Amino acid sequence: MEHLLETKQLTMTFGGLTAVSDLNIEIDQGQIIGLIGPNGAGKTTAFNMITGVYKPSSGRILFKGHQIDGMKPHRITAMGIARTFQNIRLFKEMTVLENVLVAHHFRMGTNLAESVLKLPSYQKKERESRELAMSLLERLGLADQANEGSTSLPYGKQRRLEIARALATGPTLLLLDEPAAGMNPQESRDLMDFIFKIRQDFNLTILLIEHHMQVVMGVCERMYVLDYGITIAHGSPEHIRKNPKVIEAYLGADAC
Amino acid sequence: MDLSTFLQYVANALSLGSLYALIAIGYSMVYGILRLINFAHGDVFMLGAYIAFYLVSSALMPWWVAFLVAIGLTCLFGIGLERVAYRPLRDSPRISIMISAIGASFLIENLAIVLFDARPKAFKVPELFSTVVTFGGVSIVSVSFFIPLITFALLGILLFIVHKTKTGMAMRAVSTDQDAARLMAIDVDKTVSFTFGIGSLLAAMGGIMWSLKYPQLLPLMGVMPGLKCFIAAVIGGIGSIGGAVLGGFLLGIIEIMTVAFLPDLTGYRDAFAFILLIVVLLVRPTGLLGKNQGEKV
Amino acid sequence: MKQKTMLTLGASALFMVLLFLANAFLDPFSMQIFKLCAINIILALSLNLLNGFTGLFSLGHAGFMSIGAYTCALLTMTTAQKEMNFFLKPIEPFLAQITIPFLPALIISGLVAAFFGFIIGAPALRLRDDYLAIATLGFSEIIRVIFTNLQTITNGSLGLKGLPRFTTMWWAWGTAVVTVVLIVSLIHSSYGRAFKAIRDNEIAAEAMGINVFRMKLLSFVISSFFAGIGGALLAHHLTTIDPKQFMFLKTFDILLIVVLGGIGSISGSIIAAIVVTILMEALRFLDGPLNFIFFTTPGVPGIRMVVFSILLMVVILFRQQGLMGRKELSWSMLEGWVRSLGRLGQNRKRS
Repeated sequence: MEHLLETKQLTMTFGGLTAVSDLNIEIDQGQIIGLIGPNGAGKTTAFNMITGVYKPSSGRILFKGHQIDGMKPHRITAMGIARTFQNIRLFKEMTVLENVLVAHHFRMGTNLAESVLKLPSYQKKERESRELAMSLLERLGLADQANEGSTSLPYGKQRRLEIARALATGPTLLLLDEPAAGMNPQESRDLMDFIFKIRQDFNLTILLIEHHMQVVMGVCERMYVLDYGITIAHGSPEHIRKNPKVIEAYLGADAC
Repeated sequence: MDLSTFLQYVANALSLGSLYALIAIGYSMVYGILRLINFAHGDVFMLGAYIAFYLVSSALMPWWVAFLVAIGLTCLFGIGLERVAYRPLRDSPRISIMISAIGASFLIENLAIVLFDARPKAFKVPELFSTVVTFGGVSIVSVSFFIPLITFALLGILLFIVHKTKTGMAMRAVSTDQDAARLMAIDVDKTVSFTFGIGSLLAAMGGIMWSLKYPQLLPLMGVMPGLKCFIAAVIGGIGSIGGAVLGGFLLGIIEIMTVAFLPDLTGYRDAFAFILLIVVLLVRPTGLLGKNQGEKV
Repeated sequence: MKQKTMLTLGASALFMVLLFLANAFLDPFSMQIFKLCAINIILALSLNLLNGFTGLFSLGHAGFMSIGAYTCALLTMTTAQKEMNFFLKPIEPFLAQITIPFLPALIISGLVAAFFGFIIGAPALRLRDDYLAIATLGFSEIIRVIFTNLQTITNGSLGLKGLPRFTTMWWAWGTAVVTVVLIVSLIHSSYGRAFKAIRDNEIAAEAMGINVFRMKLLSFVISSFFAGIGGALLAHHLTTIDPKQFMFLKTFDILLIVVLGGIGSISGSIIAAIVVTILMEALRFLDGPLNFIFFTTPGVPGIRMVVFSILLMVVILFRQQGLMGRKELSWSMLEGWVRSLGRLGQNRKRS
């Protein structure tokens, strides 16, 4: 059976530093998979390779059977992979609604002439785009702030807006980079429910980087543990929880 | 082409290369430390020449004192420029500081037109530099020897400062990572001022030596050399002193030699630098000796 | 019909009346300035589209202006006019016979400038912002040097004189209005949002499916198109062009307008274009002898540009956002001003 996403011996070196070494991931449709490890382990680098921000030094990435390593980010997005960023990268000078609309531009299928001349064909597409954006915002509880500046939202809602924006690209696979960062326990619990909900509502597969152990253990059916770019463990939450190598990586050799 | 003419071209190429190198270093250092293209650098070069001109013409002091004073004043001007036009914008978007640099450049040029008058002035070249040296049928003017010599001497001093003194180390630290340098108790403001000071000093020397070789002064005389020298710095690898020197010499030699061997292209002389720039930026954007500076995602 | 639409229609009608009045009553000198305002609006908007809305710091505007200027001039000059100009070396034969009407020539000039925008943008836009600035400046200078040397095509440093004065007030302002309408429409479309997204956060834009490189190139090409048109109108307004007119100084003039008006504001650019054009003329007296009652200073050419340079520095150091920042002039804004003025009046009455 073909996996939805597969990486084969994926490696990234910067000068003398190997950020990611020989990463082999398999993700199937509908799964929620975790990518964890101490800071600097190479997790975001892995995301960056999968989304095309970096061209891997070696190895391959296959999405829906197609080889995508080295492709430009916007093409990978068009193929169905969307992401959020570790440090929120919202469009600060735009409203909440506009942030989502931008992510829908490539799906609009419009052209320069009709959009400048404001032909009825364009107006129809713009209307549909707005309807879709508003419905996304409603489902994510952001509809009331649609016309406010994106930076006026509280932190938690900004993270949700990033997700809304990613969803507007119509992805099959969603990459979440530390969605629970800065959240208190209640917010983290809400996030876990939220992740399950969007998987169901939007028919998604989710790959998630997270430090928040409660969230990771609660939401992921499988996870990969990275340390200094090397995969030191892979398996279910129970398996990982007990794995001595993982404990050592997080807490140092003297713990346990 | 006979040997005599060829050697003259070589001497010219070396002189021009040296001058370009001196000015390019200033661009490189400032870019390395502030990520700023100091558009006004070429005008600092022009100021050095003019101040020296006025001091020499006033006959108040021997020419070599006049030169030193001019260099000192220009150096102070460069430091002042940074204080007034660039420091306030350090935390602003990059586009603002670039506009400030362009604005400063235009302001200095227009002030020069107003204060110094747009008509060309003739620099009084001391005899030491205007003597013609003849050997074996080849005649070369003495300044063509002095320029490379002085340039290399200055380079030696500069490299010593950068690699063997604390201030030099501070400069290198701030170039690499400004925040980390601050954490190491390095006074970033002072280091930046020092960088501008050195850059302006070298530019002033360049300006004076330029006038010794091409004694016609114009308020806009710094525009073309300024642009070309920035290009030289980019070609050699922006942020690297060695790169600036390499780029400067490369550009000077190519410019003179192309005119020497392809005289029909003389009219396009100014365009060479730009064409070379485009080629380098496309093929090897970090320049010949440069280092890559990416953005963290 | 909505109130705002009615206000806009009303203002447009008023503007038409203003144009008729200007055409009828302005003296030739003021008319020159009036036409130049329109041309500068086109040039400022095209630069702002690139620098302000897409966030690409390009310094090559003068180059595209000169391409447009020369293209239009060479297409519309009669064979006789060409012969008169090209006395040093005759013009290339294929160009000698071409003479076409103004409107097609104008559009072709824009297209040729856009074409060069494509050629130059494709490599240059791969570079980071400050390198892009120098690269575009470089291209602008290369164009100027080439034009200075192509004796048989551009007449080299002699330039072209006696160009037909096609740029009437109607042409200048008509084109300006069309430009404003098109650019406003572009900014308020999905493409405009994409441009602004690129300006805001390029990496995020690319991650959201926007082909950033293609969008940048599109913005560059459109900007060059209008720069070319502006250049062509300028050529047939001044009736004489030479490569020296299109040095970096020309780009600086337009950049000044954009910065003063507010990088990223269309209404800002329009207002600044008008104000700066008028100011440039009005301050010409500074270059001549000045009478300070007790003493007279002799004419010092260049003070005018010193003033403008200082103005730019003051704005960039103390009010980076210029006049309008990223905001646009709107009816609600005007309403707010009128209200606060009214309040002022009321307070005065009370005391």
